[in-house]
Amino acid sequence: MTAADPISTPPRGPLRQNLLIGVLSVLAGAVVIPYGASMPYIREGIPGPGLFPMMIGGLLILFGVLLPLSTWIGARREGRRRHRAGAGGGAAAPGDGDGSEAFALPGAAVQDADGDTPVEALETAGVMDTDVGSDGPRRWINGAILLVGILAYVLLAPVLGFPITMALLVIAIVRSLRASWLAAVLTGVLASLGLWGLFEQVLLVQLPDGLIRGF
Amino acid sequence: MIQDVESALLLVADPTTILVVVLSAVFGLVIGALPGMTATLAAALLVPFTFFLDPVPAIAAIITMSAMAIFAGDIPSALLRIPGTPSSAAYTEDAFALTRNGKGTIGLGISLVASVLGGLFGSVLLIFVSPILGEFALRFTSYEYFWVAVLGLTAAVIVSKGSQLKGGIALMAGLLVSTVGLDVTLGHPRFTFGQEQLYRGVDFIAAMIGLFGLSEVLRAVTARRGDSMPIPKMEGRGTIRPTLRGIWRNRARVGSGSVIGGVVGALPGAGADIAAWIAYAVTRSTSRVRPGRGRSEKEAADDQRIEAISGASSANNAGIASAYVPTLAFGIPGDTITAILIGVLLVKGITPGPDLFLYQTDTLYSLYIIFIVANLLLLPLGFLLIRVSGMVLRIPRSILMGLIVAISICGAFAINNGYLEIGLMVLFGVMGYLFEKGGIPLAPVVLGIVLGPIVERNFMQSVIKTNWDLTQFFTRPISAVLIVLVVLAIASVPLMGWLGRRAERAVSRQGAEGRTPAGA
Repeated sequence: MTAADPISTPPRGPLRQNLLIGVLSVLAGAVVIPYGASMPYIREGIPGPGLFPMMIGGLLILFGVLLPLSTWIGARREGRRRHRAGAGGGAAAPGDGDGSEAFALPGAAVQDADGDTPVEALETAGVMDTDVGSDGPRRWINGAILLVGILAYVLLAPVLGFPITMALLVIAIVRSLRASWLAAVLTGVLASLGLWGLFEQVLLVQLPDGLIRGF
Repeated sequence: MIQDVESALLLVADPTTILVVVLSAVFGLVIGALPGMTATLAAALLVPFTFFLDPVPAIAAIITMSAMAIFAGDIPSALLRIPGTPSSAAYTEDAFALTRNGKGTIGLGISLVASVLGGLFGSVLLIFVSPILGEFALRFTSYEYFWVAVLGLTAAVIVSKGSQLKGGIALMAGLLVSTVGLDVTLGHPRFTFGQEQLYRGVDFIAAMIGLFGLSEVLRAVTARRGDSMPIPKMEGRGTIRPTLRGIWRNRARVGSGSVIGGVVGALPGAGADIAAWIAYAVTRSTSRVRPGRGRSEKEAADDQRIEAISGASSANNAGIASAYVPTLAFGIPGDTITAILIGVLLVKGITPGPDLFLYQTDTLYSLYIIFIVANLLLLPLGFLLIRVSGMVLRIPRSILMGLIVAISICGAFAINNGYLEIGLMVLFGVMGYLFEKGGIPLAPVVLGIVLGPIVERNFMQSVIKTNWDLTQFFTRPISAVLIVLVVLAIASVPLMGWLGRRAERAVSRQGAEGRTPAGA
């Protein structure tokens, strides 16, 4: 939603994204339908187990075709409308594609009415640590640390036992988000011991023992 | 009846239940207050623990947590201009503007009392409406259940914000997941890839933890470097009196907001955030607060904001309670949190639906009592949270993410003491991450997984019973009513879109116009 240039062209970003989603959806449908058809029939001509997967596959294909199509039509209509309105600046399209769980502030209009105290004049008390993100390849390394870490946990927990493996995993994740070593180690050790106590002692779930069997 | 209430009171007064209520209240307040952490995420993280509790404390945990989290979401709205949960997004600008004008605590106080009143209204609605619908549902056969489930699925797609087609794709993904395992007609394995462990289907809890827990962590670790946000200082003393005065002045707004929240929340698939948006739009567009008569423009603007917050904040908490109406009466979830609750209840051998009103009345009454208790408890705990909000917001993100991963892994493992569930959780975590990147909503996925088996079982039962006489689906009287509802739901798409656009326009107009409506 950046300020668009006056002679606007339909935005490419959402179109390309929705095209990709549409293609993937059609592909999924195309795989599911033959798989459903290959399942046994209740009797001649009456599908049983395969009926629902086939219906779902059909709808996946339908929605997958309609999604890029409707985005394209919408973009064209918007383009024409804006063209008619002349150089009216970038009217922000009502947020397409924010799921009910993901949320963005609509319009993000800063409301500086005459009477309002400016943000800068606010007295502050501390800072919120939202700054766990990183730049460049570091982001993907962090993602890999998380996923490979969980895989390593699955492989190592039966050998090393829950407390040690979980502590290592948590330390790796917290540290990858640029926390200090002290914070990372403290979190890792306390979290793994706390969960171990809670699940093994209170909820009576047998967590992997590994090395520490018998303690 | 009185006996049932008595035994329900005993169930709720159990020390375990009380402890669970207090702990989940604190958990809900903290998670809700942290920007980006939704009430659904909190519910997904709670599930592994509720797994080991008796049904009543398990239900108590989820209800208390969600009532707390929805209010707590208003805290970062007021302090940082970031909604803590999607339900607070409608009035974030207003809450933050009040903070800038030194009325932050009053705004939050109003929002707290409005939440409590809205929540209590929603609970009363639940207590009186769900038995009526439950009695109606006693006459349901597989045809009607099929249509009710279809209604839930339709609603899930319709209310997906943004693109309904993406909602449709998300729903299909959820339905597809629900077909994994042995099928209902012939016991034929589907999508099991030769894995016998998958015969019983994809575990719902593992899927939830992945979709909402792990995907949030994935998003955080791959996020771009953000700015650190200064937290404004708020004076916590002496807020109670102006808060109560403000609530009294806006009592009609709280009333109308509660009614809107109660009605919208009870629609299957809708939920608290949509209720808040609609109540916000209605309150704003019918506002009569004008400058003049001893009220300066700035004061009028702040009064309008307080008015809007009273309406929308009562609506989202009313919606939380009334989302349980279709859940209890039909076993059809009203939103993602009730979908998770249905998953938990099924594991515990309780089938939500009309049977609950016949055979498990003590569980039912305890649920009602918990709603009332949770909303009353919100009042003191909420004021406490407003006082310590600065501290809660300073909890470091890095540590939180580590904790979420640890709880997720333990929770997934505890389901079956096996690693398959951890694998499924990772798979769903990646799926949730990719879906959010592509702007595909997650709520329909959840409803698809929960409702898929209900739709399929009732459809197959019906057609096998009548030897594929499909006319039965349309000719039975109750079915016909339900079909009309489905058609109405689909027809309401333009209306919902219009209401949503209106609400969003109201928000942006506020800024553009300043606050000089009819001042001249």
